Amino acid sequence: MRVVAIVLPSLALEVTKVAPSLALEVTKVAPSLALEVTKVAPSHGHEVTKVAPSHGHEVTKVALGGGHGPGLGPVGLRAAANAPRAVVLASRDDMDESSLTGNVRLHAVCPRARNVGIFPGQTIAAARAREASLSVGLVTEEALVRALERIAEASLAFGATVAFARGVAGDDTVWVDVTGCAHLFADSPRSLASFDDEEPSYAARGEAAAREGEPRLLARLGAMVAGLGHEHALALAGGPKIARALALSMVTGTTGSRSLSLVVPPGADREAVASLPLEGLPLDEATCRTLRRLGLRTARELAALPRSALGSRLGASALTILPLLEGDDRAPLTPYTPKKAPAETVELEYGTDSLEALGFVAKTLTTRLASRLEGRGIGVTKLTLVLELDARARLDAEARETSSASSSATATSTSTGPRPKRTRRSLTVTMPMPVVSPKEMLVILRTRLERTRLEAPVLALTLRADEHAPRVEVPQSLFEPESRESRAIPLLVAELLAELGEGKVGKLALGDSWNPAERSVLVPFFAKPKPLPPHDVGPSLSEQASPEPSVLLPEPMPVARSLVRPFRFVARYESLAWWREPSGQSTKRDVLAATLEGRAAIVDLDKTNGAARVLGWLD
Amino acid sequence: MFSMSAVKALHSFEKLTALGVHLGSSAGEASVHSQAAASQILDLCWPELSKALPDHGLPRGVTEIAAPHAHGGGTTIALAAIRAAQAQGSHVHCAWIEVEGGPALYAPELLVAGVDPARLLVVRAPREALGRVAVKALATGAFALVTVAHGAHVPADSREPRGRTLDERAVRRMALAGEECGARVLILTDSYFSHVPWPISLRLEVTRLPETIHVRVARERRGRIGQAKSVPLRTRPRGPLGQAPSLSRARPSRPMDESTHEATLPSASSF
Repeated sequence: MRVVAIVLPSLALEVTKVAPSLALEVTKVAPSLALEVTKVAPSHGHEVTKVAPSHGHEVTKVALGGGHGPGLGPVGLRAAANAPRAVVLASRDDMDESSLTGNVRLHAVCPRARNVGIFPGQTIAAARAREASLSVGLVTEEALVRALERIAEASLAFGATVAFARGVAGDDTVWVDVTGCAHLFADSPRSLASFDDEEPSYAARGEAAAREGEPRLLARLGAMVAGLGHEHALALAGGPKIARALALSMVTGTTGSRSLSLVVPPGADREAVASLPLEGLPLDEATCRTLRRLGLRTARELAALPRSALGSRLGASALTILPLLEGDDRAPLTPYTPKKAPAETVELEYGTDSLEALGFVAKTLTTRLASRLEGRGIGVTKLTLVLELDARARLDAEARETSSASSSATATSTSTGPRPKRTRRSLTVTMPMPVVSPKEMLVILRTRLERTRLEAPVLALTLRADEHAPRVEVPQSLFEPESRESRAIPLLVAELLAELGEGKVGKLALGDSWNPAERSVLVPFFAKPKPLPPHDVGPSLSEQASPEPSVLLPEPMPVARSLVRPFRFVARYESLAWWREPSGQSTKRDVLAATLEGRAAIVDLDKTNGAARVLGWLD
Repeated sequence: MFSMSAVKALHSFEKLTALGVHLGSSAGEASVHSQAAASQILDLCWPELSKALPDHGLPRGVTEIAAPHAHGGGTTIALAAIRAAQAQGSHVHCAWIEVEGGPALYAPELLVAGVDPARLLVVRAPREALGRVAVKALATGAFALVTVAHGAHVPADSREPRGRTLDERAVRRMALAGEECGARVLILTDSYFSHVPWPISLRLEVTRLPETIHVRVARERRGRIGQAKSVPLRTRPRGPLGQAPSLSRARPSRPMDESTHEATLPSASSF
């Protein structure tokens, strides 16, 4: 068994609410105004005279002073980016930043806070006594689980089984079972370099490829996790517990290794475990302390003790520890099964209706969703963006509009009942082909957002892949470049569908009907053609055939019969779809090619009442 | 003084070159130019129509086909152009952008004209978005020919606001986008719709009669205007290029089985 453990030491700090103002880099601001600063740009180093101290890593309102003069200039916020940070785990659903009192305990702290003596478990009051500028954020259990699910789902691209576990601060872990997968990442010629003299056996080739592939697999997995914005440590070993212990020891730096990825060769698990300090083993704190008092420092020293004595010292945990010391780790993984419709949610720290800010948040969402889709080898065909709007702001705006409309009324009525906090609005986009690329998803989403009018600020966004399909891998030719059409048209069609809506983009196809209006249908551009019944051979190409209209009117246009000058008979219909007629009576119609005030048209003559209608034009 | 006259001479040379006059060109150069010019022209495979066009085909850039009420044979010519463009390769795609809620392109006529519907993207956009959608399609570089069916002119007293139709800027954007990727643009307009001259390569004014299309060259890049010709419709290309017209029977003109009812063509007096 070969398992990768991904330990995420700063997950709680990374999974915090997103301030929409961080979305943009403002390069030009009017210095005389109090401004909304949209990105921390420490390199600029401009002085900020007034900083809202509520959040450590971003600033909501600033007024510029000093060196800019009356012109426009870039904004930089140096001080805000350097503030130490800590996170509190929300103990109930309705907890927000205002409920963070002094006696609430910290869940996780950043390395900068650790350096000044702030540790998880301290109260906010104690931590602030050490560092007054400490910024404390709030994270929910749900957000942490969502982040672990995301990483687990994206890791499916590397192994068939994934699992994750929430731990105390700093040891959230995702496991990927990569047994039999490493050779897929190997470079075949190099792995066979050692078999110069004799023809290698199939098993030997596989082992060599796996040996070469494992470091590459780990590197790619690390790049994927880093791409999702998480600090991590990776270890590949013969079992999940050993892999996690090794990865954790790298995080705490107790092994002395600066690398954040480690591959334990097959069969070397015992040696790897032996190098671990006692703290690296899954021992409770009291046992660990006792063993330290006995002068034991590493797992190797622990393993050297007689088994009979060790069993009594370790107590119940002996069952777990003793096999581990032998390098025997057969702990099963509880597989994570992803939800049918992958979704990503971002909670904003405060509401925004700026399209640019929302576009930036959408970028984060698409990147995360794309990594999930990539892991599952699927592409999205129907994307839904759910916007959670600030209902109170909406109600207030509506109340203002109402009061301004009824200016004669002196008093405005206020609702006394409970007001909803959020309302939801869904935007759906259909893709003509499975889309995987986050860039393409973003382009389509932005187009949809641009034609959306928001009636209230957005507090949260959820991007959901409602429908998906296996990703289509088109084999490429070595000598012929990929055609421009195959790449550009699907994206254009999706973009136009997002902008214009369903049923406005596609290709024309013959409809299986005698009714001229139903004979031409617009179908999705990438839909497979529907076979027509055998008796329908389509329009005739003969010169003597009846003319077909070039363009068809959306609704037949009544005209005076005296204006119709027929020059060709086209068809006669009797009782055509009589069950759809309002009167239920059978009708007789003649379809003619005629001129109508000099314009050639296809005209429908009702034989029963003599009414004439233009169906289309011969253009 | 000398430099000023040299600059003037250079300008004159550029003007002449723009007018198609090549001074002192050798036979080799002339043949290179003629080859280059030929590659700029799309042969519509409709000899009678080609004779009516200045370069015997569709030039690169934007071509406007104006007709009374936008119904004078423009669609027939555009379909012939799409057919010819699609015949250049199995990967060649075209786009047809028409006004939402207006007359819609008819699928059977598409098949009669020999256009492959699978390689023709049809977009129904609001009138004010026609230009934007066309530029977006051209910018992808995936289409050899983009047709914008602008439709009949909206009268001033209608509910639709004025100024929401194609304007000079939109056409210029289309011309630039088309130039970058080597695509052609066809705009079908209403000849009753007067507008400032657009930056186009060719403007044709067409009128449809029952059996012919009357084509007149109203504007051309090199000034070859006024040429007029009646093109018989029976000569129009039918079916896919390189394929003989199908001998399949025509679609029955009656919904019922032929064995049960006998076809009776009405006489002119019975209309």
